[in-house]
Amino acid sequence: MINSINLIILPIISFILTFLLTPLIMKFMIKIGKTGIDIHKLNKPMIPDMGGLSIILGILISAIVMYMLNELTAIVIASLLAALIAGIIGLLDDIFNLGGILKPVLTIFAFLPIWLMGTYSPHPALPFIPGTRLFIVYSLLLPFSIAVTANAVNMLDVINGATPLTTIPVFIALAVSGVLLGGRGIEVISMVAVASLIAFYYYNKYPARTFMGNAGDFFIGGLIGALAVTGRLEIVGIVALMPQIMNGFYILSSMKRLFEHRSVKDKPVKLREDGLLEASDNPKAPISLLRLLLMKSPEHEKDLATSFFILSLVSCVLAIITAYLTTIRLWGV
Amino acid sequence: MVAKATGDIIIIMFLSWLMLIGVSIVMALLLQELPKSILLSIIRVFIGIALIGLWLLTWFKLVSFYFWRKIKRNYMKRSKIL
Repeated sequence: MINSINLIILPIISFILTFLLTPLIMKFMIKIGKTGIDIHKLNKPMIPDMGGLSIILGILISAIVMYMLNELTAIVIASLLAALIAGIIGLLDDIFNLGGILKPVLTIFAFLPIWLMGTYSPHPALPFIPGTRLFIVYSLLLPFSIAVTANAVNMLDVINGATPLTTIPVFIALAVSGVLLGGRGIEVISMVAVASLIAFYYYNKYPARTFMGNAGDFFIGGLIGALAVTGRLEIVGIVALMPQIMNGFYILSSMKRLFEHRSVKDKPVKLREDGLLEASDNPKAPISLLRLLLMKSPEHEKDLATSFFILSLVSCVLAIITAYLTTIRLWGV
Repeated sequence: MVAKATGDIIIIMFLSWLMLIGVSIVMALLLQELPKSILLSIIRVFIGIALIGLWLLTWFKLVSFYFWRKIKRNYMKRSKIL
């Protein structure tokens, strides 16, 4: 049963915390020299990095309030711990640059809290098949659930505002699907994440005043994966993350190996002298979602961010339809 | 304003979603039609994995084909004009 007051109060707390913490983190990052170049701008400005730490703090402090309000369930605790492990790996990558292979390998361990607390069910619901029996296959795939989503969200964070714009609809889809399928207990934490991402978007939107950083990307991606698993919304999560999965799948398929984006010599996108982005016609460059969006003509970064948001919205509508289809039985299956 | 190729990507996403639903229907049919023994359960899982693999492969090949066709058409045309 969802407590409607908590569903309003907790996201407000999360919004205010993230909104107030982000400028403080930005100042701190400038002070310690943790800045990055905004490569899609002509003047190449230096922007404070790791602003996504405010999202982690905003959501975790809201979770403490959730605990005080008796809203914190084992499902939410396991999901937050899994996301936190992913976030810490992202933080280590921000500081030490873990490389293209070690980083995704380490994120595999983020599933441990879910496994140890037993907050998963090896009966994922598929469209027209409400309950499958996939004990072995599910157990084999479980370790990759957080690693795939965390890395997929991170790989799509290539332009200003990309992560908030592409993950806010995903959390809304998870919350709506959770309610549709009888309340799995992930609705409040999903809305807390939405509020935090909206607050962060104010600073991350074009032209960005801070970057999300790998810590924020991995935490948000990890939380999506963890909520999809613990909330028994695996197929909903896959459909809602279609833009991220498309992006990651195309890049890995065209590069045929795990790699660190900084090490890619043939960039998929080029910045023109008029400030527009255009797709590279180099066959060696990876095919990314950004490059696909530029296949017809060069575009402005702001328009590309809007396109990302629209793609995410469409996939989330499809995800909610998919959630409904998982309740339908075909031929008595 | 949005990127001109947004509609194309939405169509690709919609087609791949329809393919996923198609795969689910085939799997539901398999669960219904095949008797429930251990060997056939294993076969069902392999068929399911093969179908999902086929879905991903078709999705990727379609996009790759469409992308290079568009890139050649739009960017080569612009190079000639310039």
